[in-house]
Amino acid sequence: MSWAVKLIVHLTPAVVRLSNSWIVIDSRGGPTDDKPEVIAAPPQSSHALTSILNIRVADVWSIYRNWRARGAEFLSEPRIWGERFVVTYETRRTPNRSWAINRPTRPAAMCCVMKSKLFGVRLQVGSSTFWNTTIPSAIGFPTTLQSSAPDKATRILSRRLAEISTGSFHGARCSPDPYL
Amino acid sequence: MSEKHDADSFSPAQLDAKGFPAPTGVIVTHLLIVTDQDRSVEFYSRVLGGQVNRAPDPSSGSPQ
Repeated sequence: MSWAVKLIVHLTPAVVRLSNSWIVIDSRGGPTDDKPEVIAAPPQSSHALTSILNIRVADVWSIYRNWRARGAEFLSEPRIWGERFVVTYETRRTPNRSWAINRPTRPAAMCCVMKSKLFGVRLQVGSSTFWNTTIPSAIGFPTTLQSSAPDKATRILSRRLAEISTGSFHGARCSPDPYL
Repeated sequence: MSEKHDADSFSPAQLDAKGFPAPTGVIVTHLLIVTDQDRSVEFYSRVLGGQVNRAPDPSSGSPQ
């Protein structure tokens, strides 16, 4: 009589607490009894993107410089994505003497993508300011915004559009704006 | 009773003494399958500033 001996080893993955989340790091493996047709495998190519771990920060440039100094590689410098606000919004006077500001058709975001030969294209550092900004396209405001102080609203919006286009738009300036 | 099932309906997880989520509430984490656990852990802790809650198991070795 022969005995089939099956060694079952339960390996525990590494865990890194990163900001407000946990990154669980495990090796390739499988298939296992509960999923006999599935294996766990790392990215097959650093040139193929299959998933991104988004890291939202207040100051993309600061993080970019800091992590580069620690040895991180990025595919590009931080840049603003999306359409130019300055050419996609317009103001007009409506019958009730308020102004309507039309939103751009696509949101803008500042981000940079981290590169690593080993980890693949997996990390994207994006600016959290765009989740809080009063610029309508960034948080999906209605297409039309009404303002009781159209002149001030236009000045504020124009200034922030300029800040975004020059990359000087920071979270500290993103307080709720009563005029927008 | 509310039928709401978005993020607001979850209670944030509390942490135990080792910094892991206690078995109450809900927390969402990200699992990475990597070629070299040691190198990945070093990257996420040293470069990104993460805290290593559990180091790679040295007995696991590198799978072939």
